[in-house]
Formats: sequence, C-alpha cells, structure tokens
Amino acid sequence: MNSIGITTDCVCDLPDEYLKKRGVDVVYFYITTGTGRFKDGFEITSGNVLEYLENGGQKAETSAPAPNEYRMFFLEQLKKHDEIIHISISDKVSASYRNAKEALGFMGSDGGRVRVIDSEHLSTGIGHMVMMAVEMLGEGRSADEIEAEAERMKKRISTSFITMNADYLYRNGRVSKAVRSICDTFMLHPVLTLKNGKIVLKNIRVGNYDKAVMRYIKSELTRSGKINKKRLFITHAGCTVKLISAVKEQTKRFCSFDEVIVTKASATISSNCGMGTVGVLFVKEQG
Amino acid sequence: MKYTDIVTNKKAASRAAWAIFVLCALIMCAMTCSNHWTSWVLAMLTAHTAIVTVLTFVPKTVEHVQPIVLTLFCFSNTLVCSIMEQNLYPSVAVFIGAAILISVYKDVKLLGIYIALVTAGVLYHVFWIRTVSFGTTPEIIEFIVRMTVMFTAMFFLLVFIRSMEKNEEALKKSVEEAKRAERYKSDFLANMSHEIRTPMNAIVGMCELILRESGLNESVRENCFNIQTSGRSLLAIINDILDFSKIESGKMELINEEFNIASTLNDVINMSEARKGSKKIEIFVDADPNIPCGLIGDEVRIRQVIINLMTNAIKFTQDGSVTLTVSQTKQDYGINLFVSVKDTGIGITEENIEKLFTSFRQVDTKKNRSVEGTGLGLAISKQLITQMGGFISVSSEYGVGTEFRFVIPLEVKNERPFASVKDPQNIHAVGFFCGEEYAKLFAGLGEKLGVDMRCCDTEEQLIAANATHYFVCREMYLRNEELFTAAAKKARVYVVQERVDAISPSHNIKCLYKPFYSLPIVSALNGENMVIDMNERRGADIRFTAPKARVLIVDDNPINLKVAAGLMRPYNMQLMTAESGRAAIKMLRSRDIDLVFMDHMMPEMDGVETTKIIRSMEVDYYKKLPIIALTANAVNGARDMFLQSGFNDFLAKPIELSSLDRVLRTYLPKEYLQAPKSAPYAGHDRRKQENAGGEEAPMFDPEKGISFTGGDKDTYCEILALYAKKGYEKRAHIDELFRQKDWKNYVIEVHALKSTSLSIGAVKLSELAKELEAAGKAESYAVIEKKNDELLRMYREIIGIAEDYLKQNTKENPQAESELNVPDAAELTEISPDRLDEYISRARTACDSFDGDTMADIAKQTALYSYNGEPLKKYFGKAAELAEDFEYDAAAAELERLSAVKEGR
Repeated sequence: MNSIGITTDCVCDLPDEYLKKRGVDVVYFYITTGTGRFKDGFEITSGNVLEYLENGGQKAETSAPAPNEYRMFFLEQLKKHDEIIHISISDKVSASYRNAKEALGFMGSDGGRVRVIDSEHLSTGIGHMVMMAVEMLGEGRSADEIEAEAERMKKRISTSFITMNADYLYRNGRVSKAVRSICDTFMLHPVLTLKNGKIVLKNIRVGNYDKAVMRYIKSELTRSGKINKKRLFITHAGCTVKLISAVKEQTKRFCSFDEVIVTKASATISSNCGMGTVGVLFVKEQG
Repeated sequence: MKYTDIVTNKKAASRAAWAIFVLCALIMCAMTCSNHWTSWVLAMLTAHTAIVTVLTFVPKTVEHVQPIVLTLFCFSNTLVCSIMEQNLYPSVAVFIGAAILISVYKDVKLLGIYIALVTAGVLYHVFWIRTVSFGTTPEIIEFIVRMTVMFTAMFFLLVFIRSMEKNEEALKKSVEEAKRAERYKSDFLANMSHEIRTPMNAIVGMCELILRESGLNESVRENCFNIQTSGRSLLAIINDILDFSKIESGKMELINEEFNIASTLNDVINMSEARKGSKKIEIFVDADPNIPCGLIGDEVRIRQVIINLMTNAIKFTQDGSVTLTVSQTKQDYGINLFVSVKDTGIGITEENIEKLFTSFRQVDTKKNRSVEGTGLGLAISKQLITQMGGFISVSSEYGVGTEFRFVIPLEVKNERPFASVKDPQNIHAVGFFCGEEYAKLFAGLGEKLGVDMRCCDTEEQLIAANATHYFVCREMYLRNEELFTAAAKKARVYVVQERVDAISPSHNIKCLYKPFYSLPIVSALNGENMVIDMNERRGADIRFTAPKARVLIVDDNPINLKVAAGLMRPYNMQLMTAESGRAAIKMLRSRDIDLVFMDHMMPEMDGVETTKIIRSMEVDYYKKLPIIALTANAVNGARDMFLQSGFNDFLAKPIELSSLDRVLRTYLPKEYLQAPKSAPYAGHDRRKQENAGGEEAPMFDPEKGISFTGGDKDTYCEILALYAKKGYEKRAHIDELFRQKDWKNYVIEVHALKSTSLSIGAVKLSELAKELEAAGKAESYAVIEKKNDELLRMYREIIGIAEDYLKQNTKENPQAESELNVPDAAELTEISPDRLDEYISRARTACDSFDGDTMADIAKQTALYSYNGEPLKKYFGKAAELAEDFEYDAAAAELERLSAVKEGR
C-alpha cells in the first residue's frame, strides 16, 4: 500500500507535540518586521510579534511561502512518502494555496503525487481538518477518501474569533480607520468568522471585554445548530492564563466536549487579529 | 501612568464629545425641519458638524482647537435653538447637558468660558430679546429657581473638574518623580557597581597571584581559591547590574563588528564546561558548520546571551542533558542566526512563563532556593536581543524541561562556512554511539557537511561499513577494544569521551573530547591537530619545564585566559595575560616576552590587527617575536591565512596539550627547556588537587618535610640539597644492585631511601621504598622486579623537584643551579677524549636498550663539559630529548655526529 503523508501550513495552530508525534510536517509562513524576516513558529512566536507591535513596532507583515519553497518542501516530503495531501489555509485569506498549486507545476511528474486542498479556513479550523485526515490515515483510508471527506468537512467547520478591538484589523487593512475609531470609542469587539473561505464580520459585542468573550462563547455554542462533541479548540493570542481558564469553564457550561484543546495562535494569525483574541472552533454535525 | 495612556485618554474624550455633539446636531436638524426654522440653521449645523469632525479625526490638527471650537459651537447651537423657540427655559437643560459634555475634556478654563457664554446668553434673552417674563411673582421665582439650578450644576461641575485636574497633576508629578527616582536608581546602581567592581577585580587578581605561588599550605590554597570563586560570582552579579542599568537608561550601545561564530561557540562551550563542573549532565552541541564565518554583529553581547541561557540551563538541570543548537536561515540581508538552549531541568509553569523576562525575578523561588542568581539575566538577554532586532521566546513543560530560543538578523561579510571538510567525497565516516542524541547529531552533521556520515547499531554493521573514519563512544569502545584496534590499522578511529577520567585507548587510536560537535569533528575529518593521539596523551605528562620563559596570553575572554593559563601552568613558565590587543601591545613595549599566544577574534582590535601592529614596530625583536594564533577557525587554509598575517603558527581551540607541547618546544628558546618533572607543589593542576581529596599521598610535601626536620626551613633546605646531591649516585647504585640481583644490599639501600625520602617529604617514594624493602625481606623478588622501574623513575622525579624547590627557596644554590642550567661555554670544563668516548659508548648502549632515563642522566652529567670548545649539552641534550620522544634512531644519529666531531671528520 502507498505511503501517504499529511502536511499543512504552520498557521494550522496545532500543538507542536501533536504534529511531531503524528509526523505532520508544516510549511512556514513569514513575518517581516522592521528588522528582518522571520519564520513563523520557528523563529518568531505569537507572543514575540504581539509584544513587538504593542511596544510601538512599526510593521509586522505576513507572507506565505513562495512557490519554490513549496516545491522544495513537497520534494522533501516525497522522499518519505509516495503521496502527499497538503491542507492549506483558505485561498481567499492568503496566497499560500495558489503558491502551493503553482509549485506543483514545477515538479513535473512528482506534482501528480501531491494533492493540495483549500481548507477554506484558518488557524485550528485547518487543524480540525488535519486531525481528521490523520485519523482517517490511521484507519487505513485512501487519499481519495481523505480528500473527499475534507471537501465535505469544510462546510461543517465553525471558525470564529472575537477580537479585543479593531486595531489589528485596521493595521492589516481589513477594516477602515473610521470603523476602528468607532470600535475604540464605543468599546465594540468584532466577532469574525470564515464564510466560504472569506473573513466576514459575524457579530459585534459591546462593553467589558471579558464579559463580551463569555457572551460570544455562549452564542457560538448555543446558536450554531447541532455540534459534533468530539473536539473543541480554544485558540487565543496573548490571553492570560486566567481568561483562558474562564473560557474553558464557560464552554463546559454550554457544551460538553470529549476533548478540549487549548492552542496559541501562530504569529501570522496573531499579527492579524491582535492581543486578546479568542476563538472557539468546532465541527458541526452533518445535515 | 504612561504618556501613551494620557494621549489615548485625550483621544477617547475628544471622540466621545464629538459623538455626543453630532447626535445633538442631528436632533436639532430634525427640530429645524419639523418646526420650520429658517434654513440657515440647517446650514450652520452642517458646517459645525463638518468642522468638528475634521478637527476630531484628521491627524495633525492642533490638539486644543477641537475642544474650544466644540465648546463655542455647543453654545451657539443651544442659543440658536432657544432663540428660535423664543423661550429660554427649555434651553436650560440643554445648557447643563452641554456643560457636562464639555467637562469630558477635564479643562477648567474651557468650562469657565462656556459658563461665561451661557451667562451672556441668559442676559441676551432677559435684556435684549426679552423672552423671559417677570410679570408675576411666580414667574420671578421660576426664573430664579431655574437659573440657580443651572448655575449651581455648572459650579459643581467646575469644582469637580478642578479637583480632577488637581489629582491628575499630582499623578503626573508622581509619575515624573518615579521616573526621576528610577533614573537616580539606575545611575546609583551603575556608579556603585563600578566602584565595587574595581576593588573586586583587585581581590580576584590578588588571589590569582597567591594561587600561582608555590609551597602554599593546602588550607591557605583552598581558602584563597574560595575567595577567588566568590569574588568572581560577585563580579558577575555586579556586571549584570551594570548592564541592566545601562539598558534601562538607554545607554547600552551595540558594537557591530565582524566576528566568527566558531570562536563564540568555543568560548561558550569552555564556559559551559566550567559551569557544569561535576554535575552529571551531558552537554550536546548541534552547530551548523555552514554558518558563514564572517558575520556582522555585537559578538560580545551575543556570547553573553548564549552563556546566560546555558548557565541557566545548567543551573536548573540536575541530571539529563543541555542541548545547544545553533543554525541559520538565509535571508536577503544576510542570515537569521537561530540559537536554542534546551534542558531536561525542572521546567517552568505556564503562569511563571508570563513573568519570566521580568527584571529581578526568579520564578519558583521555593523550589529553587538552592539556586543563586539576581534574576536579571533573562531580562538583560531579552533587552539585548530586542536591541539587536531579534526575538527571544521560551517554551517549557513543568518537570520535563525548558527550551529558550532566540533569533537575530545578521549581515554577512564572509560567506565561507565556519567549518568545512577538505575532501568530502573521499570520506566515509561511521559513528557507533550509545545514545540516540549523538547518532542524530552525527547523521545531521554529515548532511550539512556533504560528507557520508552515518551511524551503526551493531558491531556487524560497523565491520561491514568499511569506513575511512570511525567515531565511537567510550562505552562502545570498551566493549570490544580488539575490534577497533583492528579497524585502526586501515582507518582512523576516534574514541569520544569526557575529559575527566579519560581512558587511553590502544595504539593508533585517537581521542576526541566532549562536547562532540562540528568543530572537533571537522578537525578530525581534516586530520588536523585538534585531535589527540592517545600515545601522545600517555606521554603528555609534562616533558619539560621552562621557568625562565616569559609567555604572554592574549584573549578577551577571562575564562579562555584561565583555561590557557591552566594548561600552561605545569610548564612552570612565567605567564602573563592581557585581555585586549591594545593591552598586549602595551605589555610588549614594557616587558621582555619570549612567546605570545594571541586570540584571533577580539573586539575592538583583533588578533590579526594586533600582530600587524607588533610586526610593524621598529625594533627587530618585535619582528622575530614568535606569535601563535589561538583560533576556533577550522576552515581549510586557516594556517596560510595566519602565516600571511604575521603569525608564526596557530593553535586550534580548544587547546590540546599535545599541540601546545609541540608549539612550546618549537618556539621557546631551547636553552630555556629543562629536564622533565612532575610538579606536585608548583604549577600543580588545581583540579587534580581537589580530586585527590587526601586519598593518595602527595609526591612531594615540603611542609611535611620541614616539620620532620625540626620546623626550620633552612635546615630542611640543607638536608634537601644533600638529598639531591647524593640522589643520582644513590639511584645509580640501587639500579646496579638490582641488575646484579644483590637483594641483601638492595634492601639496605631501599631502607635508607625510605627514611631519607620521608624526612624530605617525599611520602609516596618513601612508601614505595618501604614496600620494596618488605618484599626484599620476604624474598618476594618478583615484586621488586615489577616495581623497581617505578621506584627509579619516582626517585629521579623527586630529585628534579627537590632541585627546583631549592632553586626557588634559597638565595644561592650553586649546586642546583649548575645542574639545572647550562653555563656559558667559557665556564664549561674541557672533557678528555677518553672520558668522552666512555660517555658516548654508554649513551649508545642506552640507545640500543631504549633506556631514556640513562640517556637523560648522561645528558645531565655531561652538561658541564665541552669538547674543543663545543658544549656537550648540544649533543647529549638533543639525544636525550629525542630518546624521550622514543626517536632512538635519531638519538643514535646525534651521537654519531658527536663522534664525528670528536674524530675531526
């Protein structure tokens, strides 16, 4: 039987131990600051980039790996496996999917041994898909079956975040200055979600941030239809241990999951959503 | 309160005021439309709103303009509203509302202006347009009540804001004072640290001088060593405080210069090994050899951060390992240097990680009560890395271990890798290690070097590998020595082991000391001298001393200086140290130095530059002075580069005794080299002393000798001189008796040796003599046959030590002097041809029977003679030296040359 390798982008935000244990290799994104260009997760962490920006750092631009880097990465992977399934961040959020696809064109016949899937999600939204793929691989399922399941699953994943303010969204050009000012003035906390691969404003929470986070969790877990209780990711950027404990307690109040995994957002995700961002990411039941 | 907080508050206030103003304006617009007021009101409201919006949101508008304009517009809008309605009273509520709105700015003057305007408005209504009716008493009372309520509310607002303003001023003042106090504290710390550092340096330096002295009482030595160690710890803390205050006051300046990471690594490893001490932890180093050798950055600070992280890791790890990883990623501007220090220590909880980089904090103080430190190290490291444009982070699992990693962007001056293999395609190296970690490092290194390097799991695989180089850990080597001895006939075999308790593998097998990483491995693959031949090591016990030689060691790193000085101490040379190129030049101008060891990479003025300056000096002495480069540069062609730069030779770091021995022998004036001896009292390795711990009798203990001879040092010296004088004769006599198997007289002689040796403090020799005496008496001659050689060797060593001791402790000791140093040719006695023949014949016999000891004796005995004006030392001395190196053919050739001179050929 062919050996299949699962790979993904570093912005999947899955814990390093899990990736290492399951042999899931990642392609690194880059963060360019005023002083240099750093590999996300390897050279620079979420904490680093947030602290840099909070202390007046001028810029922290994120960039996807170039097609050639994808090519090198895939060729390296093909030394270990006969076939590769690469699960990529949403095409509408980053250029990485296109770059990975482009890389296949430079790989000749080897390109046919790599499948690149657009997850239409980011962060642990991709993580859910990767874990599903790894589990299916463990069950001895074929690459076709995994790909088909991934396609079906993307519609059922709920990826949403509540951000403390709109500062970082403004910095990265996702909202206008006026929207940022209004959010600042009236203590508004945008809730963003991934819809058909695009980041859209789902909701706005008002007032004290900690309370807004609790209300966001309640809303997500009670108004999202039937939730698959197998696994929940709580993914955050620069939140205190106290807030995360409160978030865990709050999730327990509304839905009991078999597994709750707390992960830190990658530097790329953090530099786009900012300090204090929290997301609860889960999979909905079919139908 | 930070300045940014104040700015943010002001921004928020102006935006809140704008929002309320716009809301009011919209309500007025609606009123204008519904009540059919004149159209200019609508235009006025639109204009007001537009102006206020611009002033609020367009950046760079004058800060105070928006509140004033908004206040005026607020007033005029309200006034217009009341005029249009021809009624003052509905406006009263609006006036109060506007006053509250204006009070958002917390500006008393602004509110005062507004109250004045409102007063003017009221007067306008009452006296000008007369909208207020005072016809009846209730109307008058209503007016008074309304006005009183309105102005009282405004007055209270004014008082409230005034008190707020005062509080804010007090707060600002407190912040200023706190900042000033912080500055004073930093200045004080900096000054105080500097003031403490100067006398501390003196204390540490003086201790070093005391420790260098010979004949020190053990307890004095130990106390002095403890003072020095404590002094160094205190100095390190003071340096931390100095650095921290510099960073805090923004005075820390980075000096970006070209540096070689190999040199940094060597320093870090030296330091880490010293810190590790007797802890049972393994230090792994995984350094990418492809990192360019010429990087631009502040090497001193980079080294400081790595050492700090390594020190922490070693400090908090009781068993397991500490792994230092150094790698790079290529970038357009040069490279990102990535460093990771991972330990298997106690770990840090998630809560504590948040506090980790805070100044003056040591996390988990209860658990770490035994661990010293100021808690400044990580805060300093973080600030330094941030200043270099990099990032530092930590990940940890409580009870499992911690990993600190940092990355810094660096420019590249020289792209050449810091270590490379000469002939990679013809090398096939195999590793045979116990742990997975070494196997992983080994295979990874092979990939980076482009060399076929892999690990074997079984001896069968090893045999089948047919490699050019074998690297085997000590444990695997000991399992099957024969296998590796056989392999060493066809390939190079290296045993990788710790320095402490190193074993001596069999013939042709070389030894590599841990940490086992790219630099020594590359040197081994290139066949360079960083590797020790175990046969050399066996004889690496110091084979000569040079008390007259003045040697200067130059290195910016005090630990390196200490290591180098420690290695050279057994040679009993006069060692001097300098911590910079500049200091070295100054020292060379004022002192007569015979040999210089110069570190290659130093801040400010590096070794190459310093050497060029020395060579350019006018006097001939500076042009001929031997200068040896100390370098961690394992790149091909390093030797050529150093020779071209004016160095005479180079020694690779870490310095190995065999290489040092070679260099000293080559470059020190020959007449300075003296007979071999072990040096138990002077230049004694401190570690050996500590390890000894009183378990084994010392070779020579003058203190004991003095007490045995009545406590008078002069009497002791007289007895010692006699012992030394008669020593050679006695030794030869014992040897003679042994050869003749005259056991009866042999026992008498060793009995005498037992007591005389004990009386001078040669306890070990006395004990051996006692053992042989007992063996003789018990007729166990096999024991005598086995141990006689050892006795004779030890006897000869003691005589040498006694001579040295006398030389250093008596003002005049012509006997010792004549034996130790070669007098001028004019002072030598002419030897008769027959006597010379006899010596030559004895020396030839000694050569034939590979007897180095007799060769050395002959060299000593003939040192006072000359033949036809030619000093005999020249020939016999050289022959003895060659014999000592087991080069008996060359020694015989030297004797042949002397015969030719004698025959006049």
